[in-house]
Amino acid sequence: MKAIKLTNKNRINFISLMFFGPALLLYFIFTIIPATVSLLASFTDWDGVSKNFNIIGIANFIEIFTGERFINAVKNTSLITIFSVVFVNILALILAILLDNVTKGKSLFRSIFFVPQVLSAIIVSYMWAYMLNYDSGIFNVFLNGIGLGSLTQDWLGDPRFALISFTLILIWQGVGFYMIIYLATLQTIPGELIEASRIDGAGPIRQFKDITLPLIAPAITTCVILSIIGALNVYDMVIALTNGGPGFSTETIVVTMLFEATRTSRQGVASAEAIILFIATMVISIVITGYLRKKEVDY
Amino acid sequence: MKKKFFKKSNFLNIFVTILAALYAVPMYTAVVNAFKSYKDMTLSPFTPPTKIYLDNFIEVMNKINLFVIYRNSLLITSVSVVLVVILSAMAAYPLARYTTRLNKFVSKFFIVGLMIPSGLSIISLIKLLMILKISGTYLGLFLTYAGSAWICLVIFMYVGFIKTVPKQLDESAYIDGAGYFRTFWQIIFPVLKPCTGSAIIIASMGIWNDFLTPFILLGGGDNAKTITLAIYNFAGKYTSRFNLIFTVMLLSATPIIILFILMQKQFIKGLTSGSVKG
Repeated sequence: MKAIKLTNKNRINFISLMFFGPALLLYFIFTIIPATVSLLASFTDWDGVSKNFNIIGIANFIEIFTGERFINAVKNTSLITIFSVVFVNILALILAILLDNVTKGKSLFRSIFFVPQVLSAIIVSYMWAYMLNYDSGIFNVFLNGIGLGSLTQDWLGDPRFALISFTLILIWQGVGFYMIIYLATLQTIPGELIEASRIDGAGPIRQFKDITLPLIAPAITTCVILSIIGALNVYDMVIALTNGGPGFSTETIVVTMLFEATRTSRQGVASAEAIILFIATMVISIVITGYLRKKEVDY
Repeated sequence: MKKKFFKKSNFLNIFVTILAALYAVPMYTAVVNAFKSYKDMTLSPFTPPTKIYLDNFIEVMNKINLFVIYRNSLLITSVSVVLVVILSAMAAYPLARYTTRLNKFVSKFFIVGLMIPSGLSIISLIKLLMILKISGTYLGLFLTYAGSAWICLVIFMYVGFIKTVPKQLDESAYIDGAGYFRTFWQIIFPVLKPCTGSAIIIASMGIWNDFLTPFILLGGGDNAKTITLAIYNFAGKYTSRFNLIFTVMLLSATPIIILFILMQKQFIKGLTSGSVKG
């Protein structure tokens, strides 16, 4: 302890800087500067390449909100987020409870549900593109096979179903991750607690409501926030599965943004869209965290 | 025996088995169809291959230079991960040990990185790399990863872990006369091994599977350089030839799946660490 106590504040700061300096420098150059440039670019008509640009105030923001494309992307992203967050968390929790009580092969089941986390979004996308293919896709082949041929659809090619199919794939892909978090939390609940409540005559539903739920509430907060952030920023599966189509029926905010940045070279517009998404993500995360944390205390 | 079979726990086991089997269908079909000809795949998509059919692998090898793409992906992932891990471990050490005002500020500064959407910085990043004259190069990609949100995430994994390491360990080293850097690398860093394992796994998985960064920085199309871009490009070209797409997928996912099987526990611990504590 002596050696550390002897060091004064400046010395500690200097040594600290020696340790985190390199990371801080790279992080500053390759994340903070570009993000700041984007922030500033949102008030200009910069094309991302040339040296010339004009400051146009909030014209980009006005254009975004009066145009149909971004509003449509916001609508799609909202629908994807609401449905995937609700279902992915409910299903993950149910799966975690089931797996917690399974007596054989627990780690095998856990691995099966976890594998999609290890695969890239691109791989998951093409697996499902095959499953849902109109002509040879397993899903339609199966429906035909059991005599429900009239129900076959072009699941990803029909604007009526594309967004729903996409959301279901997102849920399939994410459920394992959240299940693992819930499972890890469930395993921290002392067995005596459940045992005691059973002796006191609590049924499984009471047990879940009064013991399990309050104890896993922090994990629910984490999972809900993580799944919201993930769903709001989803893009690679969209690009690989539908590329935003048919029409614009599955285009999300990030996909629109990337399109403006790379295809139409409207860096200003793309930046404005990114900033709106950033602010929305922050506000939603803070509001939902506040709400869920309050609930945690209520239990 | 029969009576036992209908016990509640057995019913649950069977139910979960069925769920897991249904859940695995997309992965199962991808694997079996990678070993079938196009005709066999269309005729019987569900059944396991009747004979070992390796023509897909030969055809894929002829169509894309898998060896080069593999090498690129391995190079990009390994160099970036080593950079991320070394820089993060070092950065986390003072942040976990001394709570000075500077360090508190720096911690918060790194948290911001986790909230910036990757799309926001990447569009200006292209221009920045052009100014630094490293656009389209591996060096540009390495530095981008080493300065990305990955570093923020890994720093926080390390900070949490270092806090559990007893301070007496560094103190005794100082008393023995070791400098700060020697203390860190020779005494502390070896103790952080479990955390380093998780960090390596998480970062390798993320960078190996990353699509956006190499797509924007290296470009896609026929000169696709990483395995993820190669699948994307391949699937765009041979749209309906799913047996070939599955073959490419199988080849690309195998290293990461082997890594997952070997280090499953650490994998899961790494992904859930921090989030369980809330």
